[in-house]
Amino acid sequence: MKRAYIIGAIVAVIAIVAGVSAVLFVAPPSPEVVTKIVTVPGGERVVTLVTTIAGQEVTQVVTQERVVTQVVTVERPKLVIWWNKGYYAEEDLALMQAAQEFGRMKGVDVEVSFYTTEDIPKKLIAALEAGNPPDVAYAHFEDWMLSPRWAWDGLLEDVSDIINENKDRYIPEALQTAWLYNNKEKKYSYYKVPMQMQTIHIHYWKDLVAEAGLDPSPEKIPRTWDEFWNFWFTVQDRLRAKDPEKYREVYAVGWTLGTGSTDAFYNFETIYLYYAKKPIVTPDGKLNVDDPDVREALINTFKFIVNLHERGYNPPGSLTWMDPDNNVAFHARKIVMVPNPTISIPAAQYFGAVGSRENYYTKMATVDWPNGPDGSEPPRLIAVKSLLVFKTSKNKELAKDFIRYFISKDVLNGYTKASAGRWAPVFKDILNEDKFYFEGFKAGAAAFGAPGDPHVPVAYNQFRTGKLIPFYYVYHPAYSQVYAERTWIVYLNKVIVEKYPLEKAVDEAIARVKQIFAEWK
Amino acid sequence: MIKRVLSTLAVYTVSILVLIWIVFPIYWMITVSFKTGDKLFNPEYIVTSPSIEAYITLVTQGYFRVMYFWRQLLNSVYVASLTVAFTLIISIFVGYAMARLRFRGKTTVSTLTLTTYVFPYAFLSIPYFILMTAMGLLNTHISVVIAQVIFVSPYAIWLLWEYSRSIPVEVDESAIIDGASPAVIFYRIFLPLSLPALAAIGAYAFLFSWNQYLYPFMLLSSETDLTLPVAMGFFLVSDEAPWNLFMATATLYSIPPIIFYYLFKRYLIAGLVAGAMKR
Repeated sequence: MKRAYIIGAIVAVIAIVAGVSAVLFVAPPSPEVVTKIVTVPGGERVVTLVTTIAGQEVTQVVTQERVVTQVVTVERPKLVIWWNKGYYAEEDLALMQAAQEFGRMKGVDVEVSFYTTEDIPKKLIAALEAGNPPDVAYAHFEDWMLSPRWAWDGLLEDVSDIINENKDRYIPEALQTAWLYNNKEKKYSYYKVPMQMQTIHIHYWKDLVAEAGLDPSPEKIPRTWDEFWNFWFTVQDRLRAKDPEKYREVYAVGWTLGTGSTDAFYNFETIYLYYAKKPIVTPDGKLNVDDPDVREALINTFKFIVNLHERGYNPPGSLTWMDPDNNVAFHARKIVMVPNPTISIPAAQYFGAVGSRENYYTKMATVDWPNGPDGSEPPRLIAVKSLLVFKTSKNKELAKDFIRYFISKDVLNGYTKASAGRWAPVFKDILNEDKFYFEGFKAGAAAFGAPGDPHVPVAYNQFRTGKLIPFYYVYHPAYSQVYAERTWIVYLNKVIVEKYPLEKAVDEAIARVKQIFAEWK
Repeated sequence: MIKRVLSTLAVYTVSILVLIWIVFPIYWMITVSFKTGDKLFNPEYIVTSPSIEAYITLVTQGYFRVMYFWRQLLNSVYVASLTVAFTLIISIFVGYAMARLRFRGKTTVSTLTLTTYVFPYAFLSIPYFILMTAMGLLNTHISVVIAQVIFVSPYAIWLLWEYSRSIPVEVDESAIIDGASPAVIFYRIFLPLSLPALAAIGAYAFLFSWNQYLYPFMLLSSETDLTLPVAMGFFLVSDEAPWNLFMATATLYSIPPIIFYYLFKRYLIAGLVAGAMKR
């Protein structure tokens, strides 16, 4: 009996394995048949049936008189693109159209997969580990957390050829971010192709400011440091004094502090630049945190943010905010003013995803940052987003051709505009020549009695005025780990949540940053 | 008397609190799904003017984040069904062998089976990604099914093994005396008697697969191939926050497991308590 059981079990296992194998390997994929009618040079009409089976084309030629079967096996290369999911349907659609057009021009298949901002780094890491990365990758967080490390480890393809072809078109500070160090080959080179950039913009509800009895016109917003911030605090104080019940949960500022967000460290580093006399990392790659000036600027940055939050002018929930949460709070009118990288907030109103165009043109406005505490011009901290090709990508040359096509003036401009100008192009011939970046959605303004677009021109002017400053990972890739760990924000949260001594938190954060740099040898 | 009243009161109070704790998120999910876009940020606990706007948008795929809703729902059903089928087939045979056969290394096999449970499945996601890439199975539903079956099977085998021990061996022996072959014993006796355990295993495998995020995310790429939990992640990428649509998707997605549970509830409870008492 025992033997019978064993035989039965073996038979069952064989049956399962055979079944699975049949499903996986034997069952053919459904053929896709396309009928094409072409005229050959002799004038004869030829009907062809093109059958695609498992990526191979089998062409059968059918004429009226006879059937001639020509079996032509064509290996169509497939370009695999992994892309960060857009905020708007138009954004994704613009990429899909560009990909399809490229595929048609080149006669290749193009497969585009979208992933969320938080998910695409994990997927790319897994794919690299498996030696099966996509041909082209685009991830919003690549610059802060991924590409400096990958370039260092020699995982990225050198794309100097593409960069050199387009060098004159680039805004130099944006291009600088692609010049990365490859520790494996001990050389600097261009390891990614910059495509678009962002900086922090400030948006506010004009009607809430007016409700507080203050002039909401953008030109009336104070330009000096203390007056600028006190202006928003006054709006909150007055609103609450006017109607405590209605405005008890409305805050002056929406300052993201969540350790899982990127907005938090973007805000932090922007404020640091206001207070800094010296950089945290020098352009020659030296960590500068032992400099007393740097420590002092870090302390002032901590103090500014802690003060803003502890005085009750920032929502308590902002401590756990992720990147979209300040946007959501603003749309819900729970905050009067919000700093936000990209102009996604007005764009969402414009597209009607939340709110309305009436809000866009009449109730909201975008203003530039104020001058610094010492009266200096506002710094323009830019995060530049790039396209990546990996050393182990299967179709590297095809990937490079796609990138060449995608960053060409018209194609990239179409993509950027499709996202309502959420990102700024890194090419001078787009940013400085296309009138959209000067006028925005001017055409729709008249319908709402507005003189023009109150957001896009202000936002893009930030890129044209003042000094553009890249993030510190450009000077040393180790700093990308500081972003990945959100070191400053973690210690900032300790001060706010655990009431940890501020200077001690700064010193411990500095120690951690030094430790990170020491590990990058 | 007073002590008894107080004790009952305490039990009821705690029960009600626990109930609220469990039910409130579900209530909130359903409530938000019936709100219109302009009421999303009004903190009202009872929707004053409920709307099925979000459900209509969802079933008609009328918004770009739900444009593949039905396809992705079917993907979830397909992957879950295959996971259940393969898990049942594997566990019934292995469970039977473990319960009824004596063979060398049986203890080792049983120990190893349960040892696989020691490794959190999240840790194995990248090795699985590499494995599926090497096998050319990346971006196929079968890769997700294989991974899920591997994670569900140890518990399923253990459950069935424990359950099998509650079926008297004397039944097998009587059948043998009556001339039944091992196949007949398996088909006519063991299988019908194991139905409660199989229902419990099936439900467990179904729910595991239905709620799975990590492996479908890692192993699938195309939007049209994704299962619905992964696709729902797309709601969280921007500031548009159509929470009513998100919650409507979540509500509809919650219905199949509830139906599944009520259909097999009787077997499920019997199966899950199997092996709880020694004969």
